[in-house]
Amino acid sequence: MGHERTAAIVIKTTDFGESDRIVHFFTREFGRVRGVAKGAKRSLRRFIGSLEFPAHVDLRFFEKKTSDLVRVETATLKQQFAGIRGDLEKLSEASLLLEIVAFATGEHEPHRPLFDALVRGLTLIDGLNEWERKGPGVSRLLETRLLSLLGFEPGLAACVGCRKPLDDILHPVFSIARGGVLCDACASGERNLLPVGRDTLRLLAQGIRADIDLLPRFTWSPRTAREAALLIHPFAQAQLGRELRSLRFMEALARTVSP
Amino acid sequence: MAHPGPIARLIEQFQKLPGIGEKTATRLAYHVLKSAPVLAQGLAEAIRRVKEEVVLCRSCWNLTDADPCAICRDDRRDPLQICVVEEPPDLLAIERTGKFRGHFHVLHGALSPLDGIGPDDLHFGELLDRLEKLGKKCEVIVATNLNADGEATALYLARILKPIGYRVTRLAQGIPTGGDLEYVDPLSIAKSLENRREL
Ligand SMILES: [Zn+2]
Ligand SMILES: [Zn+2]
Repeated sequence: MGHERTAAIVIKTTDFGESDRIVHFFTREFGRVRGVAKGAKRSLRRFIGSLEFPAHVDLRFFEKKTSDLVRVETATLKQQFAGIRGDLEKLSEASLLLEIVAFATGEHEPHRPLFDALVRGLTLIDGLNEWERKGPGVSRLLETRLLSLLGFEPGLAACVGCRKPLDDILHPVFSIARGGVLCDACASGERNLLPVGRDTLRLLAQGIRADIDLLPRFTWSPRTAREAALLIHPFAQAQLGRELRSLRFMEALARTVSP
Repeated sequence: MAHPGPIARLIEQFQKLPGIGEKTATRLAYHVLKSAPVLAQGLAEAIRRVKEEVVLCRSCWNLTDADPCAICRDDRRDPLQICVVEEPPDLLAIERTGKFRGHFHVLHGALSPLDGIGPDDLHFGELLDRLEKLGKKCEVIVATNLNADGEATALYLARILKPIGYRVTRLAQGIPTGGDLEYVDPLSIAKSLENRREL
């Protein structure tokens, strides 16, 4: 209780009454926090540009005993992510990462490694050139990284049924229900299996451990990138137990226009 | 003591309105009860008529009591300028300036990946149909909000309209009136520099 200070990412801002805003943050020190920013619709000094998705801010807030909502005192911009906000594909991917974080963490449950990975991931997306070529691979690795930090690590290196190493499996398949790779024997009788290349599984497995800044160096083919999406997105939705809206948005976007 | 049935029902209805809690709803209900019958009748009538008579203009999708709306019917306005806004109040804000003499198109929302609001959920298709009838000399002025969702919507409009040959412009973005440079965010300053003009 009282005055607090933390780094935070703005997840979402909604108008509240004539002049206030309710802001949903993922903070480094306190996990997800919702707060009222008094006068934020009008104040030209205190909040300008700093309460917009996906701003990285230095947040000061006051926590009241009587309310779930904290009072946002100031939010000073650390990173505005203009590169993300100026690009529909980057914006969609940033939304997806934030959505995963928002659904899988509780309010007031800090997760510092997750916060740090998220900030580094957004920074990477923000500055990434050649998005069309590198973006899909980098995105899948970031999604897998965040899911792993949240305790939803896909089983990629060995059969999740019998622990047979990936290299010894003749035709590896991925089971959404089992959350990992299955060998030929363990796969018999299972449903909803995705055939997947060994190379795709290796890329994802290496990505979970690699330094985030090095993720753009991984080499993806159109096939491995496609396979990774077909595997990670249903896996994420199955693990989180809900549909990810950003994915629906990406699909609708891809249907109507190709960049 | 419980409120008599009809009063309880009115309180319950008021409470369904945004920003109205039980106390305010009770106060409003007793106010209606105590005031002259003409107030209650007027209120009931106005509520009924707003639902019955306000429709969407089939051309610009603004709220109107006559379709097409007064703006779409006005032949002194420039038909080749279409200003795209998110919501009807945004249209009114632009009309209040008295500086715009073209037509409007109301999308009824903005793209929002986080809320799953995609292109199919807004009136983009109707805009494309309209533009096709008007021809390639049209200018589309994008006046969506300057937040992340509004910008996503502007990017999307540019992406679908520019390749087929329409001129797409965006409201100039920059430092607000009364803005103190020291407190303005870097993105706004960058946009203001980009959009600077001769003095
Ligand atoms: Zn096995
Ligand atoms: Zn109209």
